[in-house]
Parts: sequence; C-alpha cells; structure tokens
Amino acid sequence: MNARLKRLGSEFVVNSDDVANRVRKIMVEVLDLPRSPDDIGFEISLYSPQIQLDSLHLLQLLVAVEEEFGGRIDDEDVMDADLRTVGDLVALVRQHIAAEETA
Amino acid sequence: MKALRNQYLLHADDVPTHWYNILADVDVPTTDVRRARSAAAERETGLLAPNIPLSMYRSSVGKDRFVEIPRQVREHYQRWRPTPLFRAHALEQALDTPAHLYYKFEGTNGAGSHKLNSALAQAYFYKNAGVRELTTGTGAGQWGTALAMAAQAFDLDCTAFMVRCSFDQKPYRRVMMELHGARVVPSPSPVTSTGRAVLGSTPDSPGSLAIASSEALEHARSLPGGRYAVGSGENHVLLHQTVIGEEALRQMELAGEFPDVVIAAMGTGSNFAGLAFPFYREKLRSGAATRLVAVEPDACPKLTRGRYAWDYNDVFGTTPMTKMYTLGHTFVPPGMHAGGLRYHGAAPLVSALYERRAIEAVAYGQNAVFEAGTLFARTENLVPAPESAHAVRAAVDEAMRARAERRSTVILFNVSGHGLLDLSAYDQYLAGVLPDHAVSDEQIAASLARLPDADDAGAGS
Repeated sequence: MNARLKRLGSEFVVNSDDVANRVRKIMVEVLDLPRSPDDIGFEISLYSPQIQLDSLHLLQLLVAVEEEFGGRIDDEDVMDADLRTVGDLVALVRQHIAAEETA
Repeated sequence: MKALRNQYLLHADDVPTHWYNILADVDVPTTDVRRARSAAAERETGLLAPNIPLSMYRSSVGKDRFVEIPRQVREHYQRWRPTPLFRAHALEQALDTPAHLYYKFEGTNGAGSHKLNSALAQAYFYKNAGVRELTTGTGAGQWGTALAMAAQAFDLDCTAFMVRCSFDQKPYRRVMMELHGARVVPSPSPVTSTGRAVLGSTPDSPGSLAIASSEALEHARSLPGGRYAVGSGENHVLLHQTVIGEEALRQMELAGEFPDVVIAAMGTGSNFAGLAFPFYREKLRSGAATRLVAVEPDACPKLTRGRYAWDYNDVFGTTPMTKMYTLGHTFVPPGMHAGGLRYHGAAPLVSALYERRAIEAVAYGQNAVFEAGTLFARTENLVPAPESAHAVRAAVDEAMRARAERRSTVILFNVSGHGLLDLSAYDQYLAGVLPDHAVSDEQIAASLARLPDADDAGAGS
C-alpha cells in the first residue's frame, strides 16, 4: 500500500476525530450537559431529552465553535443547515473548517 | 437680545460608524439563557432553524465595545439621521425652572419612531442570510411600520400580524404598513393554527400581542425563507438603538453641558437603552454622577413592582427563559394608550443594570403622562407619542424638583416618537374621559405565582 496515502488517511481520521471531540466538548460546556463528551453519540438527535437543543442554544454553540476553531461561520450555511443529529452539527463545523482553510 | 439656541444639529457624516456594546463594560452572562421546557414548535418541525442570523447574534453577545455599523445600514441611517437634539426653552419657561431641559427627537423618520434604527439593521442582516420574508406581531403598530419600511428598503417581503382591536381602532397604522408594501393580517387570523384555535373558542376575540407574535412565529416557520423579527428586548435590538445616545453625547458636547439625569420611557428597554447606555459608558469613564432613569406605566410596572426572575417571553411559555424583571408571562396589563409599554418583562441587559442599582425606575399613571404630553405639545409644538410622554412626565418632575430646591440641573430625555397617530388618545385626555389603570398587588402576586420553575426546565444549572 502507498505509505503516503496511508499517512494522509490516518491524519485525516485523527484530525476529524479531533474536531468531533472538540465539538462535543463545547456542547457539554455551553449546554451544561451532565455527561462526558465521549458519551454523546453522533446519531443522537439534537432534540432528544439528552441534548434538548433549541435554536438560541444553537447560536450560542456556533459562537463557541468560532472561538474554538477561528473564523466566522457563514450566515447562509447556518440558516440553510438541516441539523438533526450531533453528527450533522459536527459535519457543519467540518465544512466551516474546510472553507476557512481554502479561503 | 441674543436668540436662544434651540437646536443642536450634526451632519450626515456624523452618523455614528459604530454601535456601542455595553457588554464590554458590564459583566452580564450571555449564555445562561435557560432552555424552554417545551421548544415544541422547533421539535415539531424537526429543523433547528435559528431565528436570528449568526452575524447579528455574534456581535450582541461578544465583548467588543464598538461594533461597526454595516455601510449599507449607515447609508440608510443617513437618510434621516443624525436626529436633532433640542433645548426645550419654552417648556423651561412654562415650568419656571432653573433646570436645563434637552430632548433627543427620534420621530423624524417616516416610520415616526426610534424603531427604524433596529428594523433597518435587522433587515440588512436577514437579507444577507438569505431570508426572503420577515414576519412580526404588532400592537400599537410602531414596530410593524418600521419593519415594513426596512423590508421594503432591503427587498424583503413583510407580513405583520396586527392585534385585532388595534387593527380596527388604528386604521392609519395599518395603512402605513400597507403603503410600505407589507401584508397586514388582523390577529387572531385563520392563517395559522394558533389563530384558528383562538377563533374557534372565541370568534370575536380582540386579540393580544402574545397571540399576534405566536401567529407571526408560526407563519415564519411555515415559509421556506421566512423569519420572525422582534423589535425590542433582545441584545441586538438594544445594540442597534445606541446610535441615539452616541449622537446625543456629541450634541450635549456642542451644548457645552453633560446631563445630570438621562430619562427615557421603558417598554422592554430598547429606547431607554438606546439613549442611556452610551451615557453609562461615559459615566464610567469620567466618574460623573449622572442618573439614568427608566419611566414605566403604572399599568405595567415591571421594574418598580416586578421580580428579578427566570421567565418566558411569551404567554404560552414556548420561548427559552431569560432572567429579567418581570410581572410574570401570564400578566395581562390593562388596555392603555402607550401600547408599546405593555410588555410584561424588561430586557435582560436593562434588568441586570437595575438589579445592580446602576439605573433607576419610576412609574406614572396615564393621566399624569398625558398631562405632561399636552404641556409638551403646547410649549414645544411637538406631540409626543404616548410612550414618549412617559419620559416627558419624569423630566417635568425633575425640573419641578430643581425649581423647589432652587438648583440648576441638566436633564436629557428621549422623545422616541411622535404621537400624530395617537391623537384619539389625546382627544380622550382633553375630554377628561381617559381612565387611570391601577394594578393591584394581588394581580401582580397572582401572575408572579405562575413564574416557571427555572431549575425544572432543563439541564441548565
């Protein structure tokens, strides 16, 4: 196997996991959730009793995400986002990071 | 004899380039807004669509002292701003007071009140966020008129749900909104399920701002590019209004005085904050002992008789809770002419300042307010909106006190809008048939007893 590709792949996984962990840590802090970030599965609905996100908390989360990762998330990306699960939120943050890197 | 100078005017270039963010100077937490026990509507749609553009929200919770006003918004401001600051010489003479009375007049724009300051900013941010239609609930109609004009300016559609009794009693407000391209729907309406439910049980319901706002929210959620815009209370609205105080600071400098007391009417707090917050900053900087006074109606005394507690913003308890001075979200104030002051709670930022005793509050009955409004009209030749007449009343009392104590004092107050669409209220005052609405301790205690249990409402601490 191409070692270079393998290294790129493992870096990608590490970096992506890092983003997911940081997003979940922000969720615990901003929403004051009584659980560990590791216990928040990607498939959990943002509306579930465990998370109970509302639209105002979403904005608070995104401001915290901007502080953590830098840059500014585009208004339209947020308005158009179809956010249902924790995984969707992580994907939005990854999209933001990718946009910042290519900017 | 040298002519007395009445006006202190600035040039279009002097329109502020930045709004003032008081969060830089007051340590108020912005993230401890509790979650609603039932953010039901959001769960039903299954879509977490923020109601506020992130760019507008971001600056309203940040710590940057000055927030740049977008160029397009400032250009719209320059169509009528800076607004004039007047020295009320005629009123001073009538009161035979040694006090110097100054007032900022925010009614010079087409919408007739300070509300346009935030409506234009909001329309700009919503437009940039891809929104196509703004909805709102309106009672007296000042906010609806301003939003209709702002939506027109930024090529957005606008639907205003207007409280049925105001819709019938204030046809000119409806016409104003329609003239500026808005669709005006009397509320309760058959357009929404909320409206249909109310009409089902009470076909001749006069409506309320709570119902109209709920309808506007529901309607916005049913539209692909729709959002619900609010005209007071939220941090971003207070932020936008600070152009009033920023201009007034410079105009007082032109007058060569600094106010000993700054006075504005208190509805939810945007016109008060707009004038008073920049003076709060200057107080901190200079150590001046200037008093900041919010004036509320006897009929809705949220600061003077309310409680600092967690409460909902709407009567149905569907919004996230905020910590504020409140009479309880189920409190229904008696009908009165200053419709813009009938909200049950005070803006969180104004509440936090009041709790720390950084500002003062007084309350007046309707006749006392119209008495001052009438005196103001007869001396200054300007009919103040009933809301603004509350500030006039407090300013007059401060000036009378100065006379009694034989001391000179400098008073600045905000005439947030004109009262030309409220002449029927003045007519009732002149005819001596204007009622005063007293609210009993029992009434307030009953609605405070229905405050939500904040610790039971979610995972917040």
